[in-house]
Amino acid sequence: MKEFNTQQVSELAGMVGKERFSKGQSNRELHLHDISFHQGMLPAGIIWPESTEEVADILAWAYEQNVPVTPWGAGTSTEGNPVPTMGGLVVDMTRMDRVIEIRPQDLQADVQPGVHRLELNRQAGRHGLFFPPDPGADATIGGMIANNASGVQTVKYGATKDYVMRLTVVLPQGRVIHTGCRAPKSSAGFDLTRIFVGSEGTLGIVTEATLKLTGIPSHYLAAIIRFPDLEKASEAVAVLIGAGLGPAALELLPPGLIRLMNNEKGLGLPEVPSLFCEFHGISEGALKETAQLAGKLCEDCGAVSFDYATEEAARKDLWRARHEAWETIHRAHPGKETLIVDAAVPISRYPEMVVFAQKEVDQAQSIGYVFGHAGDGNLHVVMAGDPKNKEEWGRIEAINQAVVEKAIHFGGTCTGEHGVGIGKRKFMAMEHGESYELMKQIKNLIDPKGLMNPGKIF
Amino acid sequence: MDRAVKERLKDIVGQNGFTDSLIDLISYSKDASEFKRRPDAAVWPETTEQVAKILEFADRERIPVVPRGAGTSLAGLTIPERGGLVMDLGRMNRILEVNIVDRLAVVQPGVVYASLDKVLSKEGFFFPPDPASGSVCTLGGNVATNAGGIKGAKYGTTKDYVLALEVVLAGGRILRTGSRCMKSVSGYDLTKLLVGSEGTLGVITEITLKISPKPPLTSTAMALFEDLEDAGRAVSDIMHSGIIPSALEIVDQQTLKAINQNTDLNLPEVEAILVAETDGYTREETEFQLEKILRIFERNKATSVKRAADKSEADALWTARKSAYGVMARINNNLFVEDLAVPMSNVSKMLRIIADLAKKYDLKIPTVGHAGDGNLHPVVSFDGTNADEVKRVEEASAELFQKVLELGGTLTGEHGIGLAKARFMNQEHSDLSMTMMRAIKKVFDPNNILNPGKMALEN
Ligand SMILES: Cc1cc2nc3c(=O)[nH]c(=O)nc-3n(C[C@H](O)[C@H](O)[C@H](O)COP(=O)(O)OP(=O)(O)OC[C@H]3O[C@@H](n4cnc5c(N)ncnc54)[C@H](O)[C@@H]3O)c2cc1C
Ligand SMILES: Cc1cc2nc3c(=O)[nH]c(=O)nc-3n(C[C@H](O)[C@H](O)[C@H](O)COP(=O)(O)OP(=O)(O)OC[C@H]3O[C@@H](n4cnc5c(N)ncnc54)[C@H](O)[C@@H]3O)c2cc1C
Repeated sequence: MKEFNTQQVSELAGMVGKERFSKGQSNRELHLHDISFHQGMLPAGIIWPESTEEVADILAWAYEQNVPVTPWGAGTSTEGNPVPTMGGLVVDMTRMDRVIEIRPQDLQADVQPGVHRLELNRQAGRHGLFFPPDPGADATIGGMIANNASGVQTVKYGATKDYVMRLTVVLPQGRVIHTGCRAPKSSAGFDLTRIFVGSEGTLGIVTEATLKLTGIPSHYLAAIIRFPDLEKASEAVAVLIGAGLGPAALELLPPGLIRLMNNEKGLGLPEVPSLFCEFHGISEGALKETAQLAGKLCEDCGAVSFDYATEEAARKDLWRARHEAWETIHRAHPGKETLIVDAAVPISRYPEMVVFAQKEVDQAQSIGYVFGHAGDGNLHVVMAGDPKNKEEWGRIEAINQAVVEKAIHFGGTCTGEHGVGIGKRKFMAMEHGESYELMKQIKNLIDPKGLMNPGKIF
Repeated sequence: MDRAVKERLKDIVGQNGFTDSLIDLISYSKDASEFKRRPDAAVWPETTEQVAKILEFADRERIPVVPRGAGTSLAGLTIPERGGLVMDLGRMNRILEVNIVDRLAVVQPGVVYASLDKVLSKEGFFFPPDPASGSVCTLGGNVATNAGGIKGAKYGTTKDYVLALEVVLAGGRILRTGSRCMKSVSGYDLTKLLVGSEGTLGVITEITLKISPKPPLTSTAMALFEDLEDAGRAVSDIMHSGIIPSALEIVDQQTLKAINQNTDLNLPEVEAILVAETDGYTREETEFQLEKILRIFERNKATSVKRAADKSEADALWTARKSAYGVMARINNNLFVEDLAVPMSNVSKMLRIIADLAKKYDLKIPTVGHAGDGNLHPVVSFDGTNADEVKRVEEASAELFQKVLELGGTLTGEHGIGLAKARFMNQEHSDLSMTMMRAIKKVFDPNNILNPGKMALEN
């Protein structure tokens, strides 16, 4: 659906007011791309609702008019998740950006979906609380729920799904459903909440959420551990996790990526395979003890150094650099697009996966950086190339295919955190077999016309 | 059930895997609840293939099938409400893999919680939900009910630990959901949909569980509160303090009275007792956390705070909590362990409401619970032969659950809906939610043969 007719334009504008509907070219182009290379179809218009009722009206209208609808958060996805593939209407949720209430005594917050995670954490922080999932981008909570996002702290604190207690979701036809409850646990009926978490906007639009919060840890300790090669570094990951030290972050970085970070941010870090890790604890003493044990284990794995970054500023620099890794890579290769492998495997297979992925990149002589949230077995390969250059891009696609196939063979998954979007659809049948059919049936059940974020997951 | 059907079932599972003897059917007519209904036959499958064949056949013949673990359900989840076939998974009881590096265990559904625990504890690991029925209940039952326990505040419930499932659907389709990794966002989360589905969506034939390292040390303390509200505030303050106790249990005044009347423990009959436990790898760690909790107890006007110096003192502090059920069972001839959960800050309010209801309906409702995750177990003891009392019990529970829902809570924190709470489902879940659950049920089980009549999934 390429353009709205005048009747449709006036109906849409009528639902929310003129200033919150646009069919201007620049707004449409701003809602055509996430950070990936995936191509969509220019949406016919953008609408910015401010309430559940407005979203319900919009979806009822879209159903009646057979207009495809794509929800939009901050647009920071990496697999084309919010990219409209059939034009139609983009529902931009960023005007619903209020933290409705924080109930510190219950460790909960009620939020609208358009609130950004850093803003939520700023407000929760006043109560000594935080919402732990921390993707590199300042994503919206709605986008995080829809993608079930995670981040560097997930190895200790879990992913978004572990923090969603209640949802208000507007389904196709404008039906409003409330799932979950405010009690910390429940066994009452099917867990509908978790069907919506990670559904990438294909089942409905989240308009409100109750999130679990957790107490900010009183003590931190960050460390960088350096290794002679990538294999030893990734072996240490499996050992550290196996030993039950409970790191709050455990990231693997290759020399190439550290070089880019140094160039861009002047960090002056040695350009060798490294683990960035962090521990959170209740006392300085306990942390030191844990770190010493970790140091010893790493030494046994062949680590050449173990340095603490106890200074708060240094610690923040380190994590900022890690969070911006993708942007750094992108900036270092101007004019190229990136394709991101997001496989995850059981931790015992992690070293093999890392070595395999690095070998694939080397053999194909592609531009590629192998790193990832190592502590939870999540492997990223960020590869840069030109999608129009069939040969160059073909090599990158082949690496993607090979790494994912291997991950699935190891009992892993094609996407640990970024979601299926457009890019990972081709792996779904291979990964899920019969279960994929069930997912389709659930999609059909809730969205029989296939209007919600079409072209994603399925 | 006619002979031909029985013969076909025997073909699938063998003579030894089938029974229709009265004595077996009588045992399968009950679980740990008050409900009762006899099935027509029972089978003990030993492989996924047998389960698939049975479900294919049963679906074709429209025979109701009720999966069953150890039958310890407290809410009538395993009652064969429509007769038919009970499928006892007890013979699929092998632990297939324990993988310490990958932090996972792969088990068949009939493995008893305690058997897995024994194997894991040798490695310094555990599967945390730890239901009080752990010595008998099965992991299949735990998954199907989303079981929880005393460690919930810190370690969560079963759903937090199920990574992957093998499930057979009505009709015999075999699904594999999830993966062996710690995180995945690949499509809809069918695994979590199956956790807590009470055998209504499919029969679980293999479970991949995340396991946790088990901190070897614990420290324990107990505090008395003259005022319930102070105890409630202490619970919130503790959970907010950044340290998370491995257990935080509450015992109310009615329970203390019941214990005193039936034992010589001589507990102080205050409004509430809190028992807290912290865990860790070093004594310093557990004590450091306990210190914080003790300070919070004191700040919230605990009248007496006791801290255990060693294991036997710790056991003594747990006596009040752990002797509760046994004592209550002796009060009257029927016993109903209720199960509800509310937001943490409402624990004391909820206890007050329960006490008021007991007075209003002239009942005894001593209550204990997992305060750290807002999960309370009011224990209703009554005389089942006294029609008037039975009626009062029913009215009280209807009012109780209305109040629970008003406080943002849920009908069940861990025991499930089954038959006992089916009538309240629509109060917690809107018409649209119910429609959706029923539609999902239809996707998985179009002919409604799996555990029919539970969870208000019909009509
Ligand atoms: C530098 C960088 C680092 C990143 N690091 C990580 C990381 O470490 N871990 C990680 O998991 N991700 C990471 N990401 C990916 C991305 O930030 C996350 O997936 C994030 O959750 C997307 O949120 P968003 O607000 O940008 O949503 P969008 O990209 O706008 O949308 C995401 C999906 O959610 C849907 N959606 C949005 N709002 C709603 C709603 N209210 N209701 C229903 N559906 C909705 C959209 O249709 C789309 O399918 C990173 C991205 C960047 C750019
Ligand atoms: C003394 C006592 C204490 C208890 N304490 C606790 C507690 O602390 N926490 C708690 O959560 N519960 C508790 N319970 C309740 C009960 O033990 C749990 O619900 C337990 O999870 C049930 O396991 P089971 O093997 O007995 O399952 P069953 O009672 O046999 O079955 C329970 C449900 O699971 C289904 N089911 C069983 N196996 C399968 C399978 N393989 N596939 C699909 N569906 C299946 C059944 O159809 C049924 O709906 C307690 C019960 C008693 C009697």
